[in-house]
Amino acid sequence: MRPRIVYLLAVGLLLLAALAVAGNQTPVRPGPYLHPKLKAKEIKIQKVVALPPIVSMTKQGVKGSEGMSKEEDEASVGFASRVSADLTSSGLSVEAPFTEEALKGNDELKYALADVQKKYDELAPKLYRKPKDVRKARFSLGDMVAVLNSKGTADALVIVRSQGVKMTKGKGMLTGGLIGLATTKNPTFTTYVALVDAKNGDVLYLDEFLTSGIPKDKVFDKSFKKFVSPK
Amino acid sequence: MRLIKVRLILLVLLTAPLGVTLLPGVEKGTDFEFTKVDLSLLEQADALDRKLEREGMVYRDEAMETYVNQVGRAMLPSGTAPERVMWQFRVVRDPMANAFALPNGSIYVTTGLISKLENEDQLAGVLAHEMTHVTDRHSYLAFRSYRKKSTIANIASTAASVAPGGSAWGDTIILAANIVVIVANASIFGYSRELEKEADMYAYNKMVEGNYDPKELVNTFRLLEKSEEVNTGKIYYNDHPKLEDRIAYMSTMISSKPPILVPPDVFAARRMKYLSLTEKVDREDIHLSILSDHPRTGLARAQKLLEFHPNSPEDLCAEADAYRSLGPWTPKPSDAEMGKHEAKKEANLEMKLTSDEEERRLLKKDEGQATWRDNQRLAEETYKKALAVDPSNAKTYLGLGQLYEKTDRGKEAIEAFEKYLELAPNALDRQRVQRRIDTLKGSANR
Amino acid sequence: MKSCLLVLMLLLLALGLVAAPQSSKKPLTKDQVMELVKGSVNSAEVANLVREHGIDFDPTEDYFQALRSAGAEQALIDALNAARPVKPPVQDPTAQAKQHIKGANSLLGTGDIDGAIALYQKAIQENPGDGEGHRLLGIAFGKKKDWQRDVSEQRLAVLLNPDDAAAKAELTLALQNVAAEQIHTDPPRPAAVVKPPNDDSAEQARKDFAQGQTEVAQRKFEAAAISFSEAAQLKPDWPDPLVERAKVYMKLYLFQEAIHSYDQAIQLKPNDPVTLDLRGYAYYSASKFQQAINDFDQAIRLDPSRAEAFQNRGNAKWQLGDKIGANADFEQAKALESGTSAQRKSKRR
Repeated sequence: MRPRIVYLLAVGLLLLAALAVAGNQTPVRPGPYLHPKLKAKEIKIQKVVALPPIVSMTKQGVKGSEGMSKEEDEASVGFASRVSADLTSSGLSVEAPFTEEALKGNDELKYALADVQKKYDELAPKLYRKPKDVRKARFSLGDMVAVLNSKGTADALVIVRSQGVKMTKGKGMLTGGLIGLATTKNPTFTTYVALVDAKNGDVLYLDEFLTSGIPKDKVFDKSFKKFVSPK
Repeated sequence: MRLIKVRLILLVLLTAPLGVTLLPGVEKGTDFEFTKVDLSLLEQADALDRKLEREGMVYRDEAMETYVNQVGRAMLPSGTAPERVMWQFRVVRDPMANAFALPNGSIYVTTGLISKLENEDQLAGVLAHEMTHVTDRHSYLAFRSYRKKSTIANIASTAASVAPGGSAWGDTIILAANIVVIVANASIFGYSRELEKEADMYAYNKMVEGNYDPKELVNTFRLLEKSEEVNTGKIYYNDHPKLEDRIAYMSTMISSKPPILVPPDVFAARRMKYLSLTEKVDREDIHLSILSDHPRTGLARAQKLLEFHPNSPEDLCAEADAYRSLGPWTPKPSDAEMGKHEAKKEANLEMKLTSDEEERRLLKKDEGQATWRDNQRLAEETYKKALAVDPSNAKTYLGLGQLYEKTDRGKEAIEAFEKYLELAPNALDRQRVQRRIDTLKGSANR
Repeated sequence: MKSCLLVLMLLLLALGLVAAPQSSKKPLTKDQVMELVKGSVNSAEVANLVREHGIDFDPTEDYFQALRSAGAEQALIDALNAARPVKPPVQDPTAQAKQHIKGANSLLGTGDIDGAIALYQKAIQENPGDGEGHRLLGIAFGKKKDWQRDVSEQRLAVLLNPDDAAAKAELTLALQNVAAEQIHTDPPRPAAVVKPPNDDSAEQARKDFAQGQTEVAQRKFEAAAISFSEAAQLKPDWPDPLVERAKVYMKLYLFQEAIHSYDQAIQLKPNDPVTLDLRGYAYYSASKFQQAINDFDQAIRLDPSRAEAFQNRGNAKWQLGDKIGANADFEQAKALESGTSAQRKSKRR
């Protein structure tokens, strides 16, 4: 009997080790989903305006869940810089004009930004339910998005949503035993990245992926470079 | 024997976290002792205040802020603020009629609620109700209870599941509930029967003390029951008192006490003050209602505004915008639409179809097309009425341009858009409008 | 003589001949046309007459019906329609006024209040019966915080448009702003010569104070603030009206005014821990946490037995991030509170 238990424990430990190594590596992704015009290169993306990412994080414990506001703020900054860096390295010109400073005292712009983010969030359940329909050019926010393209020179807006869940050790053990415990090191983020036409609001690109922690690797799929047209 | 021992050890190791120490039973808020858990909830509440402000969800208007704070502060309990409370009264941009109180003393009222209410007495009642949740520490107690029950599903996901697309709760509550899980409970519809009754009783007493008419609290519940939309979703949990129950017990209580007579002129003056000061908020709410595909609500609000201020060009423009946005939907839901079966069907469709797809579906029918034509005609008439009162109202031209564009009157659309740009050269959406002009001109040339 | 007479007659005849066709060119009246049709004159002939002479009336649909009943044909109806006298364009007497209002609204939008006021006044001159003009002028005065003139204009607006709820609401607001302005303006204090309070003024001050308290109970806060101000003016060495006025300002969300009122009270009674505590709370409400803490420190030094001061200080420290200090103050407040409750309980026994 003993060798069998030892054997099971060994397998468990190996799995743990594998997970620990795999943690925070290449994201798992079913997408991306591209608008037919983007795929056919009828639309060129050279310049983008990045909207502030909206990241929410919860700590799942045995006694229920709680918010993680401090970590959320840090994660938002992390995502914003990751997305900007990724797009810049793809050869695009990236603008991120909606800083706290810029919005302070400019209620009109703040509301306009809030309205566009809200419009996206209202579309999101349908979008995430059937992401493949992006390929049918089904989804659009409408041309209200153009208010955020004040100079009129941007080709697309970048919208990021991420939901991070961090399990406490107790919760991890409860749900997955020792293996579950291994997954409690970093929060698991489910992230959606969308590119929306800056003039008419059509959803041009949607990608969804899971990461352990804030992605350290590329946010955009390696195929993304094919569909942009850097200057 | 050895195997049983090992299995027992494993069982203990794997299930050790389940050794939850049950929280001691907590009495209601008078001798409240903060625990670590409560402090973490407080931290989340502070973070939510900052987040709502940062993300442009707080409605900033000095006159409105002053007014809400004046009404709110007049209803505060005497003495200084409770421990770890700083009273703040704010309006949040959300067309769903709701109000919620955070445990740190921040009380939020949505633009949807402000525009739904009819007078200052009702606002005072709502604020008085909400502040009880703060003074009596209902959020902390509810959070402790929630943790004690160790529910797997957090309240945010429960809220989302009973309100398809988040429409019933309003986006503010959904956003807030992700951060402060108790917020969905903390809304006006929220806590358990006992706690809500407590808050209603406090509100009643404060209204009487403040020479407000307590019957208006009952009227507030009646208003909250009404909806201009078909799919409000189920917004109550199992143990939360329905509005009908609250109307019943408040009415019984009011009739058992000596009647409070508010002089009609005083009531009328307060009502006028309320309607006047909230006019701008109402217009913002109409815009938000239209943006969230609830033009029926927008139309109802605009019509309420026009009863008060019939010749206001801004209010006429808002009404016209609502008619234009209605598309093939009737201004009010039909009896058939309100039926359970139809409402459920509508809810399912709303989950699956985008608003453009829903509109196209309705336009395939003759009734839809007829309604569409009526709505566009009414919109045009109302825009023209607005221009007759004030020919320099830029937004009216914008609306008219969008209407003409929709009804394939390109030339008129171009003229209207150009007039808009002439009157509002620094408008935030000038690029968008210019693009529309260029597209229309391009189509005309072809 | 005979030849002169002959010339005269010829002249008269000529005049008559000239005048006759002109008199026969007089436009036809309503009755004449009807008579002709009823007299079975051919519609075409009547139509010719109408075309030749014109008509001096504007035929209505009822008139056409009557003609048709009398036998008139379409040709006559068409001729009558064509012969309608052309009315001169009605001058809209209010057009100029509307232009001025439009211009004024634009100016107001760009912040040029004085320019807007001038144009609104011009509009009212052009169209004095326009209540809306007065209402807008009142609002413009309100933007300059000239509440008295705001009130006057709104009164006129309501008089001219009794059914306009918006005008009534503006009047209500303007009246409240006038009352609030009286709150904002401290009663002028005689600088050099301080009149010794006499019995009459002291008595009146007490009456005003009592009235203020009644008004607070009735929740008429603006009125209460005025009563307390009057009491303070009559009895300048009496801090109580100043304190009560400050409390009313707190209810009105006027924290700066409350602080100022507390300042005045503290000048009269510098070592009163209660007033210091209250001022500290006003600072706290205005988010001036350090100033609040300074006041609470002083209040506690003067009277360490007041639980409220510790609680308030704890709240202010909490907001500043001093959680350890805040917790200590909260504990102290609770200890004092439970000690006080124990004392009360033992007294009752």
